[in-house]
Amino acid sequence: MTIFVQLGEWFGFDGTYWSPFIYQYGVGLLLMIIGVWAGSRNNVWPKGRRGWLVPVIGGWFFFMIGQGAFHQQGTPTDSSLQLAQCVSTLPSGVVESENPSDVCLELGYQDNSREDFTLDHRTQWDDVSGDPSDLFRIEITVDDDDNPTRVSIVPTGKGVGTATLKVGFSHSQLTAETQVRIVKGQDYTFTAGALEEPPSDATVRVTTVAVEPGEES
Amino acid sequence: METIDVVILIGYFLTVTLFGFMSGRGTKTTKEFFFAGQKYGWFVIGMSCVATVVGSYSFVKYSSRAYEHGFAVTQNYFNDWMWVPLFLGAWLPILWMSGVASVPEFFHKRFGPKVRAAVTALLVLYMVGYIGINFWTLGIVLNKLHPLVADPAWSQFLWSLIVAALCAVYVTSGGQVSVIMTDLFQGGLLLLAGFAILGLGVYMLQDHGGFWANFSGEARSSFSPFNQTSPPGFDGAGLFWQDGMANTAAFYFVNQGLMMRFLSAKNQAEGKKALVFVMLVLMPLAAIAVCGGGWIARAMETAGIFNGQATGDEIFIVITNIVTQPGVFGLIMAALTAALMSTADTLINATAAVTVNDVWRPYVSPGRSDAYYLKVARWASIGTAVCGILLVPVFMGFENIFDAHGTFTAAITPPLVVALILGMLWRKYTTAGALATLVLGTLAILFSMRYPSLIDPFSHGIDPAGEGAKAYKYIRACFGVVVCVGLGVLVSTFTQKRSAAELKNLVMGEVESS
Repeated sequence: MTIFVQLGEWFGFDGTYWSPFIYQYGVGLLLMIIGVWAGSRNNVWPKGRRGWLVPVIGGWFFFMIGQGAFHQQGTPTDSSLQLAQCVSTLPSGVVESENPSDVCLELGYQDNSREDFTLDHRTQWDDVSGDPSDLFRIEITVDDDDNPTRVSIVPTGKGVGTATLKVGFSHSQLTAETQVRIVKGQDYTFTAGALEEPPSDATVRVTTVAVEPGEES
Repeated sequence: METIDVVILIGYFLTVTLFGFMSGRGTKTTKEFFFAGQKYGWFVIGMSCVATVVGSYSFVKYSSRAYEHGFAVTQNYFNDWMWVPLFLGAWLPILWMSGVASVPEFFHKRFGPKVRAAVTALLVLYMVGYIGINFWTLGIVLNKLHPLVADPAWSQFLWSLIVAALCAVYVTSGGQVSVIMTDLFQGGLLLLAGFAILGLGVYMLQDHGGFWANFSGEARSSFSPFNQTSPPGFDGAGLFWQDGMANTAAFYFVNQGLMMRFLSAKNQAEGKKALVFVMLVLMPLAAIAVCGGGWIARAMETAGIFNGQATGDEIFIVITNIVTQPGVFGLIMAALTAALMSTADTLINATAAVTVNDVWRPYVSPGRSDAYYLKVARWASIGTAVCGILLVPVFMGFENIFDAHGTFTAAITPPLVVALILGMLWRKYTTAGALATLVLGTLAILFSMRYPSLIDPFSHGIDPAGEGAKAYKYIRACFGVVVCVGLGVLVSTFTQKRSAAELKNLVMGEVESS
């Protein structure tokens, strides 16, 4: 724990999306105050010449509002997590106990664009809190340069059933989760349900998968 | 590169060199050589500052980072604004009223000769390092356009050498007059070139959904993530401390070149106007100009026009080639070299000023004629260019220009900045305190390069992303600032203060009405 992170936590500063803005303009405000105070001690803006303070302070507000507006434009608004159909015979969301399945994760933005965050350094996978029976674990494959190339759900072999995969982000307070069904056996039929539409006021989209009842082994 | 581009590039080089040489022909005294006779208004000073602040490395390194991180790169320029009140309210009045001609001279009057010697050493290293980074940048660019030999490293070095020689020609002859006049001309060209690339790129993207639609998601954010980036290495907290705090303060307060430029104004009011003009109007325009190539590359990648055929420091050149026609490409490459020459010439002239005023005149050969010192200044200009060239191989060891520049400034600037800010604001800051800040602070930073774990408590949760000097390359500035302030305050608390009479016009509250 660093001094600055500790201090930040005391002030409720969680290190997520708006932190750089608050941090920089907080320190900037302090410097502005010191500068204006120093100018008054040096008689730089005496009565009649205080017009200088208009561009000095106004310019700072101008930058603050402009940077804030663009930062808002790039703010993540929702996230979606789904299990990819990397095992051809299985629907998304179903993982055979012997085989891993890839995971896909996206962040959505204010401009309705979406970016793949599956391999992003800021994605925090949680395969523990929603999986009390330890049915699966997350495995991140890396290349020779230690860059992630694939994220997979790997069954632990400790049983079958349903658990929850959760995910968070170090730069955003958004979260996402999806159900993971660990099944045994090779031969069954299934139908995959369509992606659930995100609720209008919600930030999380979850993939749902329907396996035909009675077909699981 | 087409023949017409080569002709324009060479023609531009020769024109600027000749223009600088001719405009500085009347230089007869050291005051003219260093301060251009103090005759210029705010517009000339302001426009020439653009070319000084925007180095050639700016186009290359900011385009590279803008391609990866979008609008977030602009914070490196927009952070400057928070320093404006301190510059106008404290530093500029002290500069004018104390009558100092150099940064080390201020430290001499404020603290004595030992502090001046320490500052001179650090300042020369800072400025020569900057010159080296500029030379290397142009080596990269010109090697990409036309390799001189098969080995890219040697080719980059040879190109750097050629440009350094041309640059030294007119600085050596005309001093600050040449620098201001060439920078005035090149400042306009720089902005024009940057906006031309952005405009042409936006025009090309019109048939592919438009620039804004393709510049989507995280690219629109004006801040990089606080302490986590993917891949590690562009953290908001680290950049804020390295660029927003240490480097910006160093550039505007400690950089001898900028100081001389503002002292070339005909009076203090013109200097103030020039600063506000630079920071409120010209720097935001410059930020857009230098980042535009990277933004266009990112949008073009989304649109499927640009398929990542170039990475890192080559992005700017490749995108320029895509959006321009032959002839225009040559002109924009000329603007890039203009940026280099403008930053380098200012720093060469400034380093010559420090050499003459802070080393030669007081210590090596005092009491000689002005003509003698003018001759020394000219030789010092040549020597500075040579030293800058010798540093190029050192910077070539870094992955890219942004990292080389960031690592260098995060390491060298905190002691200088802290000593100057405390010196001008706090009357109880003592000579021993200043020496502790400069000497022990520098040693602490060097130590942190050997043992990066020292920076852990100040890391803001940032990944070291490297080893030795390459670990914590930006946030090292935070460690440096905190340690330097701590040392200065601690030592000053227990040592002898100077009297109010000795601090006349040198510290806040002791400045005569300005």
